[in-house]
Amino acid sequence: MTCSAIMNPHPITLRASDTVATALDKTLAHRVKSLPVLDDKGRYLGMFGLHHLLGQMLPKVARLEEGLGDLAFVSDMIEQMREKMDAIRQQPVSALIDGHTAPIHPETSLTEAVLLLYRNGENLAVVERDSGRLAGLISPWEVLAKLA
Amino acid sequence: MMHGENGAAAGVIFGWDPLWIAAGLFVATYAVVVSERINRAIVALLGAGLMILSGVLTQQAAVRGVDFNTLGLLVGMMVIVAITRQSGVFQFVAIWSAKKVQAEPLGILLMLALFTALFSALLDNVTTVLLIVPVTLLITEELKVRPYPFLFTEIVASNIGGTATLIGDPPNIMIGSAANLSFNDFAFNLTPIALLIFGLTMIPIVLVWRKDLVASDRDRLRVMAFKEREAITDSRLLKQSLAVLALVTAGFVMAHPLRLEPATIALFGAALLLLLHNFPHKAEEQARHVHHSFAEVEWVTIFFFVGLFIVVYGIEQAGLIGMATRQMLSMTGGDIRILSMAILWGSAVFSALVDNIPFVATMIPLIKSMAPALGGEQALIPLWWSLALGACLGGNGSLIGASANLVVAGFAERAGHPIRFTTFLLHAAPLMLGSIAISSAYIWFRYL
Repeated sequence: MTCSAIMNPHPITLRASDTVATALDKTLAHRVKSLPVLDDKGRYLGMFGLHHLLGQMLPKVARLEEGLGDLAFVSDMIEQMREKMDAIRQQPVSALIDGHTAPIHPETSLTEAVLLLYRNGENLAVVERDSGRLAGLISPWEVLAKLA
Repeated sequence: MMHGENGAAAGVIFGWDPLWIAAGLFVATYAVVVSERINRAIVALLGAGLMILSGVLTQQAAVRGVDFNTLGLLVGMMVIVAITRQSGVFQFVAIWSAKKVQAEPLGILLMLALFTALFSALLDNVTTVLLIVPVTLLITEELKVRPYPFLFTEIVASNIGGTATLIGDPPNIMIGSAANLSFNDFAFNLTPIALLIFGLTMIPIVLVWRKDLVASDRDRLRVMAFKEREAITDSRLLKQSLAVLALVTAGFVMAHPLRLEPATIALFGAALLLLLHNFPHKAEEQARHVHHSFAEVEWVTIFFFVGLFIVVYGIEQAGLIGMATRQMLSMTGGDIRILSMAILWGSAVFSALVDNIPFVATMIPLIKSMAPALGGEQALIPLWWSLALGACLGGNGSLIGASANLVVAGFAERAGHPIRFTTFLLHAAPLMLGSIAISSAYIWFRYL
């Protein structure tokens, strides 16, 4: 079985010009962890995810490889986190795209998709190989619904 | 193929002159290492392999060329540091020092520089900056000050601190091992001048950046609210690590009376700390811990050393070092003063531009072979200190002058604060040249 058989072909999407505030409203309203971001022609640009957004609230050095292992000694950063959130709310969502997870394709096997979902913990964008257009989205819900 | 008694080849490939083959392999190895196109460990091992395959050295001779004392010391200290860092002690010290100066940016800059120099004197420089720089970036982000002056100062302090002791910087480890100079020899001869250079170097740094280093009371309060005790993640491990580090340092100090080599002390310390760290755990967890600790060893550096020792031993056995020595003695008239200054300044300039390890590895047999002409091994002492000062302090000359510089630059770039090569050069080169001028006076008046 391939991804095209189980993907959600009509996922909620974001435009590159949408603000982070809009993106945040959509993710909270639909209780999803990440949403695909498209350009004006419907081509896939990357994912906007809450995981990546949470990372922006932290000191930069905490997000780096070989950076700070823990922040237990930092007492309370809620004020700084609010400041950081306020600073990025009106930024375009394109500035916060997480390019870490590569998209998969409609012909990708379901087994491979499950492996990537397991490893990355993020929804997977299914993208047409030639046009780069978004074909659908696979989340654990689609997979588990198919297996249940 | 026949090989001579001393390990040099009696017959080399195609009957070519071993001198030319060894020289060609040495130059090619050096050139590719300098170009940085291929990982330096690969290049050195290929060069070493070709020294044997071409018949310049036998395998037995190649093994004799490897300085296992240097390798053992490096590996032992790397394992000790890999375990110690898990305790969070380095973050604790950095935060504690920042709070001691009421989170004033200038005070923090000086305190972090001091601890960077101190840690670099006792641990390797790359590890030190890897531990200090993340805390520095966090503090500067909280204080909303530019991190560059802090990172610059830490690079400089790390190279100066590394100069101070036998174990502070790989060139010193190599020199100490080859010239049979002890931890105490380095402490008595290089620590005083390193302290002086550190103090004098901080003056222009403070003068240049003191106006930039201002933070609001509100931002300083945030740093003052850090709880340094929370940075200690494993207090039992902290006590064990500090005890072993103290024991190892005492071992280095007592090495001569105890007739112990530094590698034995460092590797025994590493084994002891591994035992203490793993003893309470089950076998599976012990295996995981030990694997993790060994994985933290910088194997690229270790294998680079192995290959390099063999390549240099190849040119030594082929007679190239002897020729270079005669040439150098002839050019300087065998004058120890000219030789010392030439080695000091030459190694400083060279180390500012390329990796100082191959340079020092080549200079060691060259200096050793001068002993008969200069009146014995004791006469070489000023030359060893000149080489150590030049090679270690020269690392401050440019952003590519030492591994620690590149590690900080890479980290800063990933954190969104890139350090420009030219900017660093303009700030660092005058400081490096100043430190070499001070070292010249020190060598001249104390030893010549």
